[in-house]
Amino acid sequence: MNVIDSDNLARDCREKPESTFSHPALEVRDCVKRFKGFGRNEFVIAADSINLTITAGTIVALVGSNGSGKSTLMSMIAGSQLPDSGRIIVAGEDVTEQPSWQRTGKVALVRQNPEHNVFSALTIVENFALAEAGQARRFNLKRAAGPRVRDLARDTLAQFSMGLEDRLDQLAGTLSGGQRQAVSVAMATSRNPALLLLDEHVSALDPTRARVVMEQTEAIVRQRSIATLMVTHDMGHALKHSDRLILMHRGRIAMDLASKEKAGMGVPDLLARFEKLTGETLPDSAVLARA
Amino acid sequence: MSILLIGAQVGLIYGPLALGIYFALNILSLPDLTLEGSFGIGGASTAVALVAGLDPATALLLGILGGAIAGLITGLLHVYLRMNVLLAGILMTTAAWSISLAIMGAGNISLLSQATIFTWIEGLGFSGQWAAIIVGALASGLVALVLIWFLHTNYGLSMRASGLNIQTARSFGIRTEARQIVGLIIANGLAAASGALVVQSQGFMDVSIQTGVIVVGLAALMIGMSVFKTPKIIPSILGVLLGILVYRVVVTIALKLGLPPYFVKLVTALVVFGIIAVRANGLGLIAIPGTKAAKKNARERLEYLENDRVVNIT
Repeated sequence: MNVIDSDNLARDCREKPESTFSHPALEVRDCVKRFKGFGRNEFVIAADSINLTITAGTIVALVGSNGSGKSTLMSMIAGSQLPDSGRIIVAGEDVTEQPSWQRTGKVALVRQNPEHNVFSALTIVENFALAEAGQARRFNLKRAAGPRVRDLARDTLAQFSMGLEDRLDQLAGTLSGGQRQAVSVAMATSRNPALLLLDEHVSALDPTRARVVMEQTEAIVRQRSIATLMVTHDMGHALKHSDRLILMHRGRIAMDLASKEKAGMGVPDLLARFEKLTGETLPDSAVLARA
Repeated sequence: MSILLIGAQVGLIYGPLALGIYFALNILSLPDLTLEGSFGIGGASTAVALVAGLDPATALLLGILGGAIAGLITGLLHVYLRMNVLLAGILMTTAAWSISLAIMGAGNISLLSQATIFTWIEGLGFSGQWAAIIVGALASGLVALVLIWFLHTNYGLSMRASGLNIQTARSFGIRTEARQIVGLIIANGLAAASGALVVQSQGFMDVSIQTGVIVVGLAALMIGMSVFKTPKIIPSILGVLLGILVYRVVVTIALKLGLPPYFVKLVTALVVFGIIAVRANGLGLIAIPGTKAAKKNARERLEYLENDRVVNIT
């Protein structure tokens, strides 16, 4: 497995034009989302006046127990759920009322379930063609898997060293879960979105594959300096692969650690702070992830 | 041989309908029953156009247009009234019965004195049977080629994506509701094309031709999907066309064996039942109780029952 070397990454970051950094990649302002509860007139507050700003080029890890509002926040940013009130601004543009399909050029999302990121019934190159056409929002009557898209797909897949570049015409359903997630990250980042959302994108993989895909994801994201909001239940990943760590609890941001504050912090320290802050323990998976 | 020819003669003009059903059910994953009504509207429109003195090709196009409009309405009902496609289709097909009668102004129209596409071809020196086979093959072949081309374009690909997973498609930047509406227009236009061809071929239009016709296409689709089990487009489309031939041959054989014509619909239903049963159960269905195959089948049936879901369309 090739992991892109970090000196090149740093240089690439510096070479980015200054204008890219003029707006924060993401601003969430006072976002509230309530769901109907089980009882009559009973509401569950999934997002309780969330404020969050992510500067361009940073990787932010988002952790929290089940029902803390992580997924709701991600859905509101991606556009599959609309906030009851508040604004969502991506790279300076207010997208609050935009349907998800209009946000594609700005926001890219990789979901937990590999089945939801890649169309199994389409070939690998057809998946790339869709991602390409979607980015340009040009769904025309030209042949989808033409030479240009094939070259793009081949180059993009070659960087994973999984041999996928020779399997362009196979159905994406023949890929393993890890391969699919790798392809999804490649497709999502090839669009150079202002913001990349990773919704537990390695949690359905076995630990070894999860580590590999996570490392490759970070390498690509850093190389292209794409601002990233990454939900994970793995505290190790959250500490290791991020510039900033946010903890959500009951629809609010309960803890926000900048790079310096989380430096030197281990998983046990993080878990201890979580317990102290919320009076709850994280699910077992987070604890097991230490091993 | 003669059985094969009769199968091709009667079957090929149902090719566009079968491909329309493939398009709605398989590509778009929309169980649209409007197709049945569109078949009738297509027949009614073409009959009225022929009686009005229009040439057969224009009459065919008007028939297609009638079906396309029905598909557009179903699409709008689904997207803007948030109506389940199955329910919208049932209502549209019911309405289509009255609309067909309104277009015709009578219960049936005879076209014996009018020129049709089929009499054109017969004029070139072909027998009635070969004229039907040629027109059916041209229509089915043309529709198949255009669909194969279309579904490999960027737009066609976005339509396939919309039928696979709406959330994923939308995250790829695809406005799925637009694809559904356009797709229903195409599928219903194709069904209407078959309706128009059938009317021109038999030389009269009766409003009852639409009744149960969707099952013919469904039989072709099920046979075709069982031949090539792949989501790829080219084998699927060839399979559907092959399916319509196989289905017609089965019906022809059944009739030759002395089955009364009113049993055709029963035979059709039995063919579809049979194929689905084999597809879902394999040989497990007829396995001797207690054998490995029977146990496997029982386990699979239990899994199916455990995962069964209700779909409320109201």
